[in-house]
Amino acid sequence: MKKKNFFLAHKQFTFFLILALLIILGAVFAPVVTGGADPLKGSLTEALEAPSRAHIFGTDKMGRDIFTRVIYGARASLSATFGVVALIFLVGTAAGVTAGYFGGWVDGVIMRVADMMLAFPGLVLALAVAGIMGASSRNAIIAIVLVNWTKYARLSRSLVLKIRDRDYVSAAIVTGSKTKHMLFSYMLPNALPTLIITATTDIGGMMLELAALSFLGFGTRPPAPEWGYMLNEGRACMQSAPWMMIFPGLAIFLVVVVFNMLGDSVRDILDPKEA
Amino acid sequence: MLELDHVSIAYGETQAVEDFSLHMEPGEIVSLVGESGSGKTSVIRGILGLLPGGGAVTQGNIAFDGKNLLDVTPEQWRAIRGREISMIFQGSGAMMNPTRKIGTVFAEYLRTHEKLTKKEAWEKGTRMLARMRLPSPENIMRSYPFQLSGGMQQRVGIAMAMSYEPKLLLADEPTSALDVTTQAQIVGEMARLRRDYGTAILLVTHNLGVAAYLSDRILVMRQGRMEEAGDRDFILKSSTNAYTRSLLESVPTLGGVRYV
Amino acid sequence: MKKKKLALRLAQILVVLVGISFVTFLLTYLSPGDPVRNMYTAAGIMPTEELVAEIREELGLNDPLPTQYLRWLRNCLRGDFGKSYTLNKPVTELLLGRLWPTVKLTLLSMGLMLLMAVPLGMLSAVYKDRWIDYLVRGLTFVGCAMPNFWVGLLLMLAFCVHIKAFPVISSAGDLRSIFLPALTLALAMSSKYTRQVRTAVLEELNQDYVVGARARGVRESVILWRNVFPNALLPLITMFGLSIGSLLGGTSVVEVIFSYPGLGNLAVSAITSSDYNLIQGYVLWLALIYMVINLLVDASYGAVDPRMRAKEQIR
Repeated sequence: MKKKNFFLAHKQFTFFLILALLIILGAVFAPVVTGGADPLKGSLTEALEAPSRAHIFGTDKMGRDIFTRVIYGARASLSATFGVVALIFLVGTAAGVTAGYFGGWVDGVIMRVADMMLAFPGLVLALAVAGIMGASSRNAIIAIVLVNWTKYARLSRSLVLKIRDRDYVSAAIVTGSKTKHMLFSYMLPNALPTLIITATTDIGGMMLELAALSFLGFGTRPPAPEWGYMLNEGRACMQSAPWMMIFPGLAIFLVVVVFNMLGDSVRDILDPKEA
Repeated sequence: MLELDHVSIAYGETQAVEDFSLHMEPGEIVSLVGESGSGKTSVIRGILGLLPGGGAVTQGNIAFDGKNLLDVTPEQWRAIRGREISMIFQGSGAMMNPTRKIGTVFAEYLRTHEKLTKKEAWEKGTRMLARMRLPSPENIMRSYPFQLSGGMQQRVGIAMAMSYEPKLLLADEPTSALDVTTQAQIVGEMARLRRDYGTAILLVTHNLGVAAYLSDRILVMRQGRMEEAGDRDFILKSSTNAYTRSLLESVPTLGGVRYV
Repeated sequence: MKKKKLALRLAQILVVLVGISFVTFLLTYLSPGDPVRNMYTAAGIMPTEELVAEIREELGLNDPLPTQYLRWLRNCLRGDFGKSYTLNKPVTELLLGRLWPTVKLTLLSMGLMLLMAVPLGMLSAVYKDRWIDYLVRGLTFVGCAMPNFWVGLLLMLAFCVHIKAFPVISSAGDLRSIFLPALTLALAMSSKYTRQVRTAVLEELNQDYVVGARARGVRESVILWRNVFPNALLPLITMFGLSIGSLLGGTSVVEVIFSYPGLGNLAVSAITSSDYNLIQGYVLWLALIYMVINLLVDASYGAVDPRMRAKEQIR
C-alpha cells in the first residue's frame, strides 16, 4: 500500500515513468509493435514513398518501411544511451569518490586527467576518439563516456569531501571503521540522491550526443536502424522524401522529452528545494 | 498617525499574523517584541507593502495619516516610501546593492524623490551623512558597503532613512546582527532621532533590553497574535502575563540584577 | 589577474596540451588503419606492398613510438603540423583557412543567442509564474530536447527547399548563407541559456538590496534596469564567454549539414578519411584556443566585479 501511495502522490513522476517504460517495452517488443515487419528488408520498387496506409511513416531510398526502422531504431538508441549513462555514472563516481576520499596525489592525478578532458568542447573529443578508433556503436559509447565521466567525478568528489569532514565520520574513524565500510555506509548513501538526479537528467542529453555522433557517421554502422544515422540518410533525400528525416528526428525528440521530464520529476522528489 | 485595525497576514495557506491592532501617535516609539515566528516581521513589512513571496494582508486595515495603505498605486508608494515612512533593516549593508558604491545607491534614492543632478545628489548624500555625525562622509560615499563595519553600515542606513525626516521610521531588528557595544551605539542614535526630528519609531526586536531602553510602549507578540500591550514600565514591572514574564526572565542577569 | 596565477594557468595549459598531444598521437598510433594506405586510397590509388613499405620507411613510421612522438612534437613547435594526406596541403594552412569562417559563424551565433536568451530570460524571471514565464519555460524545454541537427535539417527543409529564402550550400561569404547555420546553433544554445538567465535574474530579485531599494521608494524600472539586470548578467558573462570556446568546437554538425566551409566540417571529413595529421592538428589547435579563451574569460571576471577586485587587493 505504501508503494501505491508513493506513485499516486507523485503524479508527474508516475506519468513519465509509465511513458518511459512504454518506450522501453516498445523497443524490446519491436516485432510485436511493427507487426513482424523486417527493418532491414525493403523493395526498391517501393522506395521513397510518402506516408500512406501501408507505410505510415513512408519508405526510405532502399524501400524499407520507416515506421519499422524507427521502432527498431529505439533498441540501438536506448541501449547505447543507457550504456553510456551507466558507465559514466559508475566510472565517474568511482573516480570521484576515490579522489575525494584518499586525497593527496591520487586526488591530484584523477583531477588532472579530468581537467585534460575538459580542455575540449565535448563533441570534438568524442569525434576524435570515435573517428580514430573507427566507427561503431561501441566506440561511440566509449568516446562519449570519456568526455562526460568528469562531471560525475567532480560531483561525487565534492560530495565526499563535504561529508568526509563531518563529525560522524570522524567519530567512525576514531572507532576504527575500515575504509571500505566507510565508503559504502557513509559516503555513498549521502551522495546517491544527487548523483541519481544527475544521471536521470543526463539520459536525454546523452541520447542527443549519441545521435549526433551517429548522424555524422561515427556510430552504429548501417544497415542497422539507428535514429541519428537515419537522419543522415534522410538529409540526402530531403527534397524528394522529407519524411525520412522528420520521423526519426521526431522520435529522438519525443523520447528525450519523456526522459527529461522524468529527470525533472526525479529531481523534484529527491531534492524539492531546487525549484 | 498609524493605525492597524484587526490585521491578518497570510502566506498562501500559512497564517502569520492574526487580528493584530496597533495605534501610533506622532513621535511615539513602540516596540514589537517576540520570538522568531511571532509575526512581528510580517507586521512591519506589511505596513510598507513589502511582504515577501506570496504574503498578503488578508483582513483588516492599515492606515497612515488617514490614507489606506492597502490600496496604494505605485506612484503613491513612491511618495510614501523613503519619504513619509522609512525603513531600516537588520543588515543595512545588505540593503544596498553590493556592486555599487554607497554614494551611487544614496544618489539613486535621492533622485527618486527630488529633481537633482547626480552631482547634486551626491552632495546632498554627503551632507546627510555629516548631519548624522558620521566620520569622513565623502569617503563613505565613495566606499562599497562591504568595506564598512556592521555598525557603520547601520548608521549609514539610518542616515539614508532620515534624509527626508520621515514621520515614521520602521526598524526591523536593527541591532540583532551587531555586537553589544555597537548595539548600544545604534540604540543611542535611534533615541536621538525622536529628540532631534520628532520621528515616530516602530521597532521590531527580540531583544527586550533594546525595547526597554527606547520605547514608550511595548507590544508582545506570540505566534501571530498580540499577547499583551502596554507602556514600557507596565510591561517590564507590572505585567501578569505568563508569556511576557517568561520573556523577561530569559534576559540574563548579572549579580542578581536584571538590566532591563 | 595576478602574475603568479597567470603563470600557473599558462603552465597548466602547456601541460594539458602536451598530455593531449600525446594521447591523440598514441590513439592514432594504435588505431587499426594504416596512414600510408589510407593516403593512397584517398587519392584513389591502390598501392603495392613494396610502395607502402617504402613510404612508411621514408616517413619514419617504423620508428619506435617515442621517437615518432618527439619528432612530431619538434615539428609542431616549429609550426609544422605535417601535411594532410587527403588534401595534400600543409595542415597549418588548411586549419588557418577554415578558422575565420568558423569564428564568423561562432560570433553570429553568439549574437543571435544573446538576442534571444537574455530578453526571454529576463521576461521569464520578472513575470515569474505568469503565462509568459510558462511559455518561455515550455519553449526552452522543447528546445533542449530537440537534436540540433534535426532543427538544422528542418530549417533547411523549410527555408531552403520550400521557401527558397536561403541557399542550401552555405559559403562563408554573405550573411544570407551564414544565417541559417547560425540560427540553428543559436536556437540550441538559447534553450540552454535562457534558463540560466532566468535563474540568475530570479536569484538577484531575491536579494535583500531589492527590498531595501523598494523601501526607499525607488522606481521598479530603475531597480530592474540599473541594479538587478547588470548584477545578474555579471556571472553570466563568464558563462557566455566559456560557451564561445565550446561553440568553436561544436559547430561540426551544423557545418556538415549546411556544407559550410569551416573547421568543424574539415574535422569531420578528416576523421572520415583517417587523415591523422589533420586530426591531430585540429585537436591540438582547438584545445589551445579553448583553453586560451577560458583563461581570458576567467581573467576578465575579476576585473568586472568590484568585490573580486577588492579581494585581489586585500591579498
